[in-house]
Amino acid sequence: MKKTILAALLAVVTSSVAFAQDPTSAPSVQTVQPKIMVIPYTKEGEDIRTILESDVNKRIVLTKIKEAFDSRGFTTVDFTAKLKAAKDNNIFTSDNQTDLKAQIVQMSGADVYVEAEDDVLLSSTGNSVKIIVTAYEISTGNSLANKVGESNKFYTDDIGKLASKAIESCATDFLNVMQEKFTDIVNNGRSIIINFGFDANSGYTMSSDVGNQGLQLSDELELWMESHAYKNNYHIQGTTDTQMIFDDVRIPLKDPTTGNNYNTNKFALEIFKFMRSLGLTISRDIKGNTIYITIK
Amino acid sequence: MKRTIILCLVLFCTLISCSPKVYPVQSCNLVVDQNNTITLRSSGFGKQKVEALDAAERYALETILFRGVPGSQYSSPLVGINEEQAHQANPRYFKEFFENGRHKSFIMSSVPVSDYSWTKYKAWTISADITINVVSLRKDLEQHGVIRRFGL
Repeated sequence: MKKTILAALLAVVTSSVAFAQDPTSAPSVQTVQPKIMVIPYTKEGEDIRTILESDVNKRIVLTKIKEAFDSRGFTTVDFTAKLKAAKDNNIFTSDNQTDLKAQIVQMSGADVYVEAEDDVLLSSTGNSVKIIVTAYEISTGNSLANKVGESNKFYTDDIGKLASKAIESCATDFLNVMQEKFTDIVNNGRSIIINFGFDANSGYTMSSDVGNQGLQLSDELELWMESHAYKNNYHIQGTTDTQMIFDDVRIPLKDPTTGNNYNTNKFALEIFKFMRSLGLTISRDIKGNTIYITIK
Repeated sequence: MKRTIILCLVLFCTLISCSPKVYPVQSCNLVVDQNNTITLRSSGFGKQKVEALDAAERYALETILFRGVPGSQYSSPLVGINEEQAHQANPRYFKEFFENGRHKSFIMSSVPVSDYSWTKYKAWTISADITINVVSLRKDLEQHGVIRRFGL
């Protein structure tokens, strides 16, 4: 009798543990986190390497921002290390400093970059530092957070200390705003761009009739997007006879059926399957969160 | 005589209903926000001094968790503005937090700044400067799954 009761209890406990697991998100699946890189703001024509190496205050600002991310358990891509690696590998192909920064951002593989600009104000009534921090999504250009931090005025020449105070005054709020945007991405999907175009030798245009419904290609694409964009959330930038651009299509972070991580490549595969079902041959290129579809 | 009494009663009732109703309002204002802690000047009501002080502490924590403090780095609430939803989603955590006194572990200091006094709200009240360890509070909320960790 005792054994029967024990067995029944064990069965109840086991079944309750099994039911506690969410079938759509297996615990072993870790959400792929975005790569974040903190970079200094540079004016046009400024040498980013010289500025960073000669200005300790800029390095303090970057370190303090990275410290804020670390304190929230998030690891950032180190800009200085990337800069050194890029320098060692001679990857820079242009003398233009703006391009140089873009090249580093591109080669780093970062999804988000945080730009920090400092402004030192020296006066007879005390010195102060203002910091402007902005976070962008690299592929879409969506702004994630913007804050201005101020150190207040102090009778000190220690600009690094003032810069630290300025960052401390806004870092928490800055990260909180970023987190709000991340939560929005989790709830409403990640934003990607899809660009449909045609090969030079293609016999199709956006007004060509395709598929079995006798609809134009642009209509077929929009109907498909309507049913496949996460929570029906998509925006068309514009349609011409040779191009159709979806400048904001939301895709889920996790595959709704398997619970595995979902990304731009997988969505591009879905587009490929759909285009094939319409009898179209395409080539696809994926750069960050942008999908380029070329219809042949 | 009867008429006079009735008239007096009616007059009394009319005057009573005309008197302004005063509802007790708890206040919670920013004192200082630095070094990962925040100090709030919060007031609380209670039949005993200890009870009023505890109410002030709870109110300070509720403000941080569900309201946010304007002018500080915590202008957005730590948990969210929908208090009811948060309580429904995490009943065990908040029961342990508020009812079983776990909230005390996140309070670094609680210094009364006013006398325990009788107010126009017809209740005993006290104001205190409550310093909260916001970093450990956030980490605790993250660890218990009440809020999401930083990132996606």
